[in-house]
Amino acid sequence: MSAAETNAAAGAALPVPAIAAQPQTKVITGNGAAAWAAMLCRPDVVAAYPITPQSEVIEQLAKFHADGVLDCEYVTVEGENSAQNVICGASMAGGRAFTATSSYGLVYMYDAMFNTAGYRAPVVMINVNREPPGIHAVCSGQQDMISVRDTGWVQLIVENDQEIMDTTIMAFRLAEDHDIQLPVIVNYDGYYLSFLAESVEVPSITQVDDYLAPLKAQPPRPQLLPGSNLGCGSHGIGMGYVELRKKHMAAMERVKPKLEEIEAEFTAAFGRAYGGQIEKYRCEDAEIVLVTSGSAVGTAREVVDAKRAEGVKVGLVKIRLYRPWPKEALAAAVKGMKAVGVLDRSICFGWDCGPLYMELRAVTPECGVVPMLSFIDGLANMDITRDHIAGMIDDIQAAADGRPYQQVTWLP
Amino acid sequence: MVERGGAKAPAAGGAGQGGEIFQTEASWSISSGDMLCLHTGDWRTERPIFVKEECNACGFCYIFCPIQCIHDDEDGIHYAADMEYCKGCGVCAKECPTGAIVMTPEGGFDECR
Repeated sequence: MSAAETNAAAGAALPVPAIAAQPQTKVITGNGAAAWAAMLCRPDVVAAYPITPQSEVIEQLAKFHADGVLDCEYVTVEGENSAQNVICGASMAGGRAFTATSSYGLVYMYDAMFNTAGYRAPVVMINVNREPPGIHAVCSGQQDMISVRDTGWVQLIVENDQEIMDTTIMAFRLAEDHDIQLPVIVNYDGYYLSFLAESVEVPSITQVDDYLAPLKAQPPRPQLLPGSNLGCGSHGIGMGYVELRKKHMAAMERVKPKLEEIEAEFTAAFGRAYGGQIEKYRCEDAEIVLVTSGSAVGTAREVVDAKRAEGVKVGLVKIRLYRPWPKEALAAAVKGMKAVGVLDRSICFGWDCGPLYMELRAVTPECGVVPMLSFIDGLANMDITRDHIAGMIDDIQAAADGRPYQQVTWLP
Repeated sequence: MVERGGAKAPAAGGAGQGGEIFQTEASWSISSGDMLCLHTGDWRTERPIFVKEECNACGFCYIFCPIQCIHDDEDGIHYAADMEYCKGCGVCAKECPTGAIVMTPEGGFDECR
């Protein structure tokens, strides 16, 4: 049965708002792309609180709601902790739920994020990366996403506005998949992407309906209903807890092949591909490699091209899936390289390096012991420039050539 | 679909392999059957004894109980606690305006519940 037939079989005569009736090319910001994507996925409940640099996402969704384009409950909560609890409850009641936040907002919903993940409520959240509290920085940085690493959420991080659009749509397929049933965060760099206007291919709402239609053919999830006699989260002592943790962990591992699968379907439907868990760029005959994530990948591509033109055999690996950590894919990608560099937009206390670097080092048994260099750059809106990345590649090459190298380098 | 008010078990989750406590990915359980929850009564070291002669049926105990385990007594006038869940915190006894609830050590009782 095709996706369209599945949709029709479900008896869905869904309204088609005029502004989303046709596929279109729009010049929109990253935040706009996130809002459009969320609207196209028809959430039943949106609950969110504004915070720079995310505010535009929920303002746009509020406008969609006010204009009658988005038929949902739009809950204007008094803070992010409530936003997370509202969407968790909405999801447990059987609805599709969405929120968006950043930085202070993300950490303000920290306990509630554990609830959502522990209840296996498949919500989707946008997190617009920004430096967290402590040193007041209304600036980009990825420390917020790093700080919620172990809450049990799936985390993706993207490079540009088109990928925000496409990954948000895929996130609903991933979260609500019967084999997964986990909440998903789509991260993108604040400022660099949130306010950057780019040309974005926006699918029609019918195309998105068709893409999401297989979710309707799945066995239904249990749901909280008034008067029903089901409970969830009420038992957590002894083996019950252990069983649920093990199931949660197993579901996390299933995310890796599932992401590849749903992206393949996305590519078949929309013609765009992102490589699944990671993207390898010019890695075929590479001898050294730079690993990074988010908006810095765009700059790194250009520098890798320039270095390639000079004869440097450098490749680039872009991390898309942050949790679960794509350790098998990464080990395969860096295996055989003479030296590896990792560019982090955040820091890892206690390891004196970047967090992505620390995690990549953990796959050393699989990929072999080679010089690995940690670069910390782009904190608090400090630009990760072409010159910075060229310097990193020079350092990685020097290490590959057997020269002494510095393990951790802070730029600029 | 789970039937409202029914006893139908939720569909098995993606990882279901049998021999498990939960049939679902999450910790769903059915209250009409063996609801999987914390029997907080096990934590109790003291239990509330309701002295009906002193009770004016004001309902303060019912209102203040932090886990809402106080319910109408069989006579429909006074109150009693569900010993399955009463943690023995003593808030009811503290709030009772007539002193009709007396906290008594568990050691004197044969049955836990």
